[in-house]
Amino acid sequence: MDKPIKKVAVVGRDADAWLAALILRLSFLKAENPIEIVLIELPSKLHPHEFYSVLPSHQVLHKVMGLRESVVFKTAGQCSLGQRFFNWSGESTSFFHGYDTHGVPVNNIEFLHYWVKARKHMQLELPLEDFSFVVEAAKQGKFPSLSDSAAQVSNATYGYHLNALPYISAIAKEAIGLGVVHKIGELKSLDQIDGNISCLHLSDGSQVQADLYIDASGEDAILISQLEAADNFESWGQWLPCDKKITASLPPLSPMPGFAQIVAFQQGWIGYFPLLNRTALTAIYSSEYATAEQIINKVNKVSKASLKAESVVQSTIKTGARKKSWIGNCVAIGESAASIEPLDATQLHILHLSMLFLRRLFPNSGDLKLEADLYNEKMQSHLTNIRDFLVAHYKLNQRHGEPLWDAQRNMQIPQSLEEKISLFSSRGMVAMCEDETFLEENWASILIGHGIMPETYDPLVEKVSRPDQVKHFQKILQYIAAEVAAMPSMQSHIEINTESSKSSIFS
Amino acid sequence: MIMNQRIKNIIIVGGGTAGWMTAAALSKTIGCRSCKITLVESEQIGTVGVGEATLPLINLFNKNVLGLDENEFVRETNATFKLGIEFADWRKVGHSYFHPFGHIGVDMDGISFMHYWLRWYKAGGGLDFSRFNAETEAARSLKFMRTTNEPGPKVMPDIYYAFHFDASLYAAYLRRYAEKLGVSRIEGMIESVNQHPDNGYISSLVLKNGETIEGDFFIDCSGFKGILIEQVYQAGYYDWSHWLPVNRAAAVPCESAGELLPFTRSTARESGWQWRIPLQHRIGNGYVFCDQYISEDEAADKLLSRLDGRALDKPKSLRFVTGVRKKAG
Ligand SMILES: Cc1cc2nc3c(=O)[nH]c(=O)nc-3n(C[C@H](O)[C@H](O)[C@H](O)COP(=O)(O)OP(=O)(O)OC[C@H]3O[C@@H](n4cnc5c(N)ncnc54)[C@H](O)[C@@H]3O)c2cc1C
Repeated sequence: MDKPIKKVAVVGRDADAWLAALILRLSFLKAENPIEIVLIELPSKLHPHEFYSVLPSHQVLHKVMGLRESVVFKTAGQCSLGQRFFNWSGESTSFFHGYDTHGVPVNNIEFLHYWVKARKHMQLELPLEDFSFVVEAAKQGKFPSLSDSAAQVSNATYGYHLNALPYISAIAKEAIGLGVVHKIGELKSLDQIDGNISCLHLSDGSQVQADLYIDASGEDAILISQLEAADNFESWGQWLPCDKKITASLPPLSPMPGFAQIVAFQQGWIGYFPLLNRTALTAIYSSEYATAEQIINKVNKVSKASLKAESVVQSTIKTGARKKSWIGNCVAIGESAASIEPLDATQLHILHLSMLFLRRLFPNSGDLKLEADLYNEKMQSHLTNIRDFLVAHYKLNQRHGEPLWDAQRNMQIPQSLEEKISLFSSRGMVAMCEDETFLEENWASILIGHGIMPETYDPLVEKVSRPDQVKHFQKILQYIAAEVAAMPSMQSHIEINTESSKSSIFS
Repeated sequence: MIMNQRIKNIIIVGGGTAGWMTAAALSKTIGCRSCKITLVESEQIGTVGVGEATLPLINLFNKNVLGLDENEFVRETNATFKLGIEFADWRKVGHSYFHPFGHIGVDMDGISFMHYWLRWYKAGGGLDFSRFNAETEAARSLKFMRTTNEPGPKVMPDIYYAFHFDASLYAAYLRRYAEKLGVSRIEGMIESVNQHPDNGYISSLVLKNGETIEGDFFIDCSGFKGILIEQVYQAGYYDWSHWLPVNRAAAVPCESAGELLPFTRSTARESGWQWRIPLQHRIGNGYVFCDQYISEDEAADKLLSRLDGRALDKPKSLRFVTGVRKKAG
């Protein structure tokens, strides 16, 4: 089996399947020996309530696909400058995780260290987030475009809230238009030879053969689950206890925030994700502590809504990841590689990682062992770091006297996270691992946000006198205020980027 | 050191390249106002005095950390510019290839240039990738320039380079720099060490003349011996000799000869390899070998017979074991 890949079969549904098919198709579109991409589409599970909250990395995915941003707005999606967390440290507490750095370093020392000193010894009361361009922009309903000089000191960026059904329909239309072969069907069985898939049998009696099979079937993982060892799926339930999800829609908010709100409550959390035509709502909870009915009541109370069981979508989350998501000639991507609750907008990021490494390691002969090993190593390393980021929220909660939150605060956490938290607690330093999705500024945002105040800070901070430091802080705040004042409103950004008469979503 | 107290007294042990680079960097970043910085070295023991060829990261250290003026540094250390390393006779006698600093080609569409090059090669292109790398082409024609930061679109890739310099002049130059910023230097041979009875931390050093030097943070730059990290703390050593068996070197400077080459040359020899490092005033040479295959005398003779210019000294012999300490602190 020493021939190049000529045909790839993607088996799955919804975002994972369509995005993967389109990206693979585009990757080889102009190649001398084009590769055939067949998509076997399983029945969709998308409901009109469904949405995707995605990280800034999704902009890269759009670029890879040559998509204009208008595809987001035309399908009623919205920009997301970050997430505001409410009540994670007890009622009426909040912090903002904006997609940006904080302040401006002095003498090559991170701003954070000066902020810690100011909070501890200089009577500063402002939270860290006040020193971020993106958070200020979010609070004022602005679109975070930076001047050249501000772009030197800030990483302000944004992700999206995508309106799942229309967004994926638009992607699907483009994929088919570009020559992805589309078959609707269901898998009946598959044949294997030496741990490789040799043939798929669909329920209509037809067969599909390919050189590489992409499992994009979500948590069902209908292909890879037939090839893997029994213990290949690693559950993260002990760290991320929520196993149920309710999704619904509320009327749009006015003015419409350009960020998500993540509100903790007794048995989980409720997220509000503004879209242009509605507010997508999700409640993530643990079935050990509550029933769906209780949660719907809770949601109605918190959001002053009157949702009924019939008007919401209920689903389960099987939190965890596959140790190997590439086995033989089968690659599990997106949610069939890992399933993670949408607390930190990572849902489509798993797909992004899958496609990034699959593209980088796309096989050129029949022997896939070397590629699979490296792919699995990279995916696992990325996923572990993402897991830790989510676990940190649960571990650091300060909701005392509620069984779910007490248990999670007292749980034993992975050592990698333990080390991160203790180094940060001791000296405000983020011990970055290889393959991190979230950068130092993201870690600092949530660790500080959840109430860790480092015991000490970098001693070199002392080289700046206190009066000079106060002046520096004032200058930063003025700088941020002036920059944000000059930014366009989110509204006008969306209008300008939707108006275009061109109907194509490709640039 | 007592915990929860700021470090007030830093002692650097050793005055070779490592010691003076550390002293210079600390006096520049931490400064000597709130913290005393002292360096102890022994002229009698001396320094290795070889490390003369560097990598481009040295620029970050010189410019970004210390803020040195590059021209001054070049003048003070008799430095020359280095664009890469020529590996002669490694694949087979008569063959040579160049390892340039800087980028080869340009990645396109998220795909590494290497893959485009491989396709080009398979379609009949030559093995020599030099035409895709500015440093190699420049080295081949004995040229050098720095990246020009002219406004407007780039017409040339950035140029990556390092230096060849006289290691003892570099140490002396950094010594002047550090002493100006307040580092004090003590000449003397360390004979023993006092440790804190509770935690085993080093509390002071005792010199041969009986003087004790107290400190609360010690940095070991004593070279291969590691008098603190190894002799006090037994850090242990990962021995890499089974992969890198060379364990001796004969080193000798010779007169400059021919045009100045903007690169280091490493030539494979019967029992190791020979370096050629051109400085402004001389060429540094050394035969790195494994004593299992050739004697020190024979290696020194071979080296002397393979110089480009007249030897300026008798060959100096060095012994080492390749590897890394198990712990650095
Ligand atoms: C053959 C060879 C070639 C090399 N070539 C290169 C090269 O081209 N480029 C490169 O970057 N690196 C090179 N290296 C590595 C480099 O030379 C060394 O890593 C570096 O020079 C070591 O410097 P140092 O300051 O750590 O040690 P040393 O130069 O050995 O300095 C040690 C210092 O500690 C002091 N000291 C030691 N014991 C005591 C004591 N008991 N009391 C007081 N003082 C004491 C000495 O007086 C001296 O000042 C080479 C190494 C070898 C062996």
